[in-house]
Amino acid sequence: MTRLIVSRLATLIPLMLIATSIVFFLVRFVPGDPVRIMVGGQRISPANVENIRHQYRLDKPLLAQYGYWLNDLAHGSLGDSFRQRAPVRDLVLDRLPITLELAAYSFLISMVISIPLGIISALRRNSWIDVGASFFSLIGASSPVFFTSILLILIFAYKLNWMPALGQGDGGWDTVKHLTLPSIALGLSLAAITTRITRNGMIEALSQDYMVTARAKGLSPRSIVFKHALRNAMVPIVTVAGLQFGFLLAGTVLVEYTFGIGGLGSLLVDSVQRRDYPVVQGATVFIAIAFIILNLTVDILYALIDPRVTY
Amino acid sequence: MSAIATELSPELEPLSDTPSSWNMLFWRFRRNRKAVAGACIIGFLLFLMIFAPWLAPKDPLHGDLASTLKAPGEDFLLGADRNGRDVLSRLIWGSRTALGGAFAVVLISELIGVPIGIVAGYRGGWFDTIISRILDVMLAFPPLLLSLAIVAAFGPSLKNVVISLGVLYVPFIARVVRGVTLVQREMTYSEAAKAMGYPNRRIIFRHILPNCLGPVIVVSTLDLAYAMLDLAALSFLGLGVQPPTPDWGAMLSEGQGVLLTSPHLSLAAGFMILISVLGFNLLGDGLSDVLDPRQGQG
Amino acid sequence: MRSPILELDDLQVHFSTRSGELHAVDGVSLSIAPGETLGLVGESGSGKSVTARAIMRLVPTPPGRYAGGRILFEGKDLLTLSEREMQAMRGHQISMVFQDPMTFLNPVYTAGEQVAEAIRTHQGASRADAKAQTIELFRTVGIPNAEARFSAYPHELSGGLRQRVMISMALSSRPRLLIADEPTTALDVTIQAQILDLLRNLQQEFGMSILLITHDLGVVAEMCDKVAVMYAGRIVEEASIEPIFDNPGHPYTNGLLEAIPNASNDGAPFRPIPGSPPDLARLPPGCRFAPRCRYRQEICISTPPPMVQIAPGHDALCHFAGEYKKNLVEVPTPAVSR
Repeated sequence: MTRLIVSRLATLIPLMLIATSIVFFLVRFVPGDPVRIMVGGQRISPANVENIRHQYRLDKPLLAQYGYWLNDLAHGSLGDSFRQRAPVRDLVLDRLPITLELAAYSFLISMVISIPLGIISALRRNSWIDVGASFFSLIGASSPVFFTSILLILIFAYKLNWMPALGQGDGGWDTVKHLTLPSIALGLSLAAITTRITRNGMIEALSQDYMVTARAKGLSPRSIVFKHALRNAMVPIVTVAGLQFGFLLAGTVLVEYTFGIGGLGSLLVDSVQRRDYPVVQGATVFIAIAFIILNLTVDILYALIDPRVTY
Repeated sequence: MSAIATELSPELEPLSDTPSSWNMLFWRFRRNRKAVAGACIIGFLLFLMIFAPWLAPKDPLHGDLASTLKAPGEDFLLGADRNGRDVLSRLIWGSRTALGGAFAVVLISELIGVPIGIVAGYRGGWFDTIISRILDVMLAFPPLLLSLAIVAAFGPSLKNVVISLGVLYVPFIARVVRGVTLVQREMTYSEAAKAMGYPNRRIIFRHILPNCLGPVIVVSTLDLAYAMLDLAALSFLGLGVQPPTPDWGAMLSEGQGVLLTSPHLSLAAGFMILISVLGFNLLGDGLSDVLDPRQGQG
Repeated sequence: MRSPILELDDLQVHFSTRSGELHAVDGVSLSIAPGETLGLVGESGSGKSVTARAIMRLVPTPPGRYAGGRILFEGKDLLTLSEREMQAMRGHQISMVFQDPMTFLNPVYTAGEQVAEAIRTHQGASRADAKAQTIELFRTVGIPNAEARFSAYPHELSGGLRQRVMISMALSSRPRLLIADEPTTALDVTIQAQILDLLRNLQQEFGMSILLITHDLGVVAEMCDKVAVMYAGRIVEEASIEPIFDNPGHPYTNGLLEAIPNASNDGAPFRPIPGSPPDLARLPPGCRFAPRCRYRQEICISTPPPMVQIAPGHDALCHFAGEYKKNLVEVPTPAVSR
C-alpha cells in the first residue's frame, strides 16, 4: 500500500507542476497591461504604475516570474490579489470550507440515491423502477446543473417554502439547510451516471458463476446481493466516482454561483469576471491539488476493493 | 443453463464497407429507439437553427420597454424578457449559438485530435509516450475549469470560449483515435499492406481512417452533448455569449433575477438546453449500440 | 435396501424461451442410497447440470420452472420447502462443488473468508472459531500451508488448490449429500486424479453420498457405484457400474463407450457418435436418440420407447434394450440432422 501511494505521488507531482505551469503562462499571455487592468479606470501616476509593477514582480522577465511563482508555491504562498488587499492563500482558505461541505454533501446525496436505485434496477430488470431509473439517468445527465438548481429553487424554495433559496446560512444547522438544495441539484447530476454504473455493475456481478456458489452455500439473499454482488460492483462504481470528481468540482462552481454561496467556485468566477489573475491562478492551483488528492484517494480505495489490482 | 444457451443471439455481422452493410447499419439505426429519438430532436434543432429568421415571430434583439416582462399571451407566445424582447424569438435564435457553438467546439477538437491520435498511435515510441502523457494530464482536469482560466486571460466571448473548449476537448477524440490506430496497425492486413510496399499514407487513408469513423462519430456525438452543457454553463456565468446576442445559457441567467415573478424566462431557456443535450446523449448512446452491436445487447 | 438419501421422482424442469417451452429435465427419476456414489453422465446440453442445480433449487425462476415431480431428500420433498428452509439446506445438508473453481469463487474475498462464511452461516460460529475450523478443513482437504492460504485470494491459488478450497467449502458443514458438477473438467490431468482421490477419501471419512455429474465415463468407472445416463432431458439408462461397461443396455451408452479412445479392450475402433443432441424445442416424435442411432428401426422413429428392465437394477429406455445389436443391418451412414 505504501508503495502504491509513493508511486502515485511520484506521478502526480509532475502532473501538478504541469497543471500549475499551464495556468501561470496562460495568465501571462493576457493582452494588455495587467497594472492598467488592476487599477481599473482610475488615473494613476507613472511612478505609481512602476511601484505596483515592482510590487507584483511584473518588471521581471517571464522566466524569473515563473521561478518566483514556483518558489512561492513551494513555500505555500500563492501571491497577492490585485483587487483585494489580501494574500490569495487566505482568500482561498477562507472560501474552501463551504465548498468542501457542498462537495461532500452532494457526493453523499448522489450515493444515497444512486446506489440503492442502481441495485433495485439490477435486481428487478425491466420493472417500472428500472425503466424509471434509466429515464432518470438520461434526464439527469442531460439537465445542466444550474437548470436543475433553478427548478429546485422554484419548487422547494418559492412554491413549497421548505428551503431557503439563496445564501449559505450562518453555520451549523442553518448552513445544512442552505446547502441542501444546492447539494441535491449537484447530487442528482452525479447520481445520474452512478445509477447507471451501479445497475450495470450489479447485473454483471449477479450473472457471474460465483453468485451460484454463494447461493449454493445457503447464504441469505441479503448477503448474496450486498456482500457478494455489491462488493464486485463497487469496482466500476469507484472508478466512475473518481472520474466524477472533476465534474463535481466544476459543478460546485456553477451551483455556488446559482445559489449565491461564497465558496471557492464563486471566488473563481468573480475573479475571472474582475480579471484578478493572481486569484484565478491560485484558486485553479488549489482546485488542481484537491483534484489530485481525490484521485489518489480513489486509487487507494480501488486497490482496497479489488485485490486483483497490482501496483 | 444449456437450454438457454441454445437461443440464437441476434445478428453479429462484422462491419465491412459493402453496400449491404450500410443498409444493415441503417436498419439497425431505425430499430434503435434511442437513436431515432435523438435524431428527431437534433433534426428539429437544426431546423430551428437554419430557419431561425423565418421562424422567429419577432426581432430577437429589439424590444420595447412597454412590454417588459410581459406574461405569455397572444402577443408574446412565451412572454417578453426584462428588455421587452420576445422570448420565443430569442429561444429560436438561441439555437444558433448553442448548436453552432457546440459543433464548432467538436469540429476544432476533431481537426486537432484526429491527426494527433493517428500520428501517436501509428508512430508509437517516444512520440506516443509524450503525447499520451500530455493527453492524460489534460484529461485529469475538467474542461469547464480550465476554460474559466483561459477566458480569464483572453476575455469573455463566444469565440474565446469555443476555441478554448475545442482545444480542451482534443484528448477525448485523440485518445479514441489513438486506440483504434494501435489496433489497426497491429492487424495483419495493415502489416501485409506495408510488406507489399504501400506508402504509410495509403495505409492510413485506406485502413485506419475508415475504422476510426465509427468511434469518432460516437465520441463526437457525446462530446456535442458535453460541449452544449459547458457552453451553456459559461454563458450562464456571463463568460460566454455576450449580450444582447440571444443564448439559452445567458437567458437562463437573466431569468434567474426575476425567477419569483417570471419563472417562464428561465424555464423556457433551461428546457431548450435540456432537450438539446438529451438529443445528443440519446443519439450518441443509440449510435454506439448501432455501430457496436456486441456492446449494445442486454 | 436402505431408504435412499435422495430420490428424484419424475422431475420436470422447463425453461420458457422465445422458441417455446423447453423441457430441459423431462421426467427424471433416480435415487441415491446413503454413502453411495451415483454418476450422472451425458453430453453437454443433456440436462445433467440443470438436474444437479434443480436438486439445490438453484435453477433461476424465471426463465426456469419446476413443472412437476418431486425431489425427496431424506423423504422430504424439497420442492415444497419455503425459500428460507431451502437456504438452511444448501451448503448444510446438501452441498455442491462446481466445474471451474476460478469463476465460481468470488475474486474479491480471500479463500478462507469464503469458507468461513459458510461455517458462520450454518453453525453460527464466531469469526475466530470459523477461521480455526476453516484452517482445519484446509488441512483435511490437503491444502499445504493452510494457515497462510486462509488469506490468499482465489487468483493467487493454482487451479487444484482452488478446487480444494471449493471442496472444503462444500464439506464445511458435513453434508449428507455432495453434488459434484464436473469437478475435474477444468483441471490438469494429474490434478484430476488427485481431486478424485480426495473426494473418495473424504466420502469415507464423512460418510456422505455423492452425485457426480460428468461427461467422462473414465471418471465414472473410478468413482461410482451406480450410473445414470442422460440424454435430451431424460434418463436413458440406469445400472450399477459393471453392467454398464460390460453390457450397455442403450445404444447411446454404447456410443459413449465407443467414443472413448481405448476404453474398451475388445479392440473395437474409436467411434464418436455422429451428430449432436437434438434441439429441445424440436424433439423427434419417437426415440430422442433415434436420429443418431446406428441400430434404429421404424418403430424407433415413430414411437417413444418404454423403460425396459434388462436385469434387476438395470433399465434402459429403448425399444430394443440390451438387444439392439441384433438390429445391426448396419444403416450405412446414419441420417444425421444437423
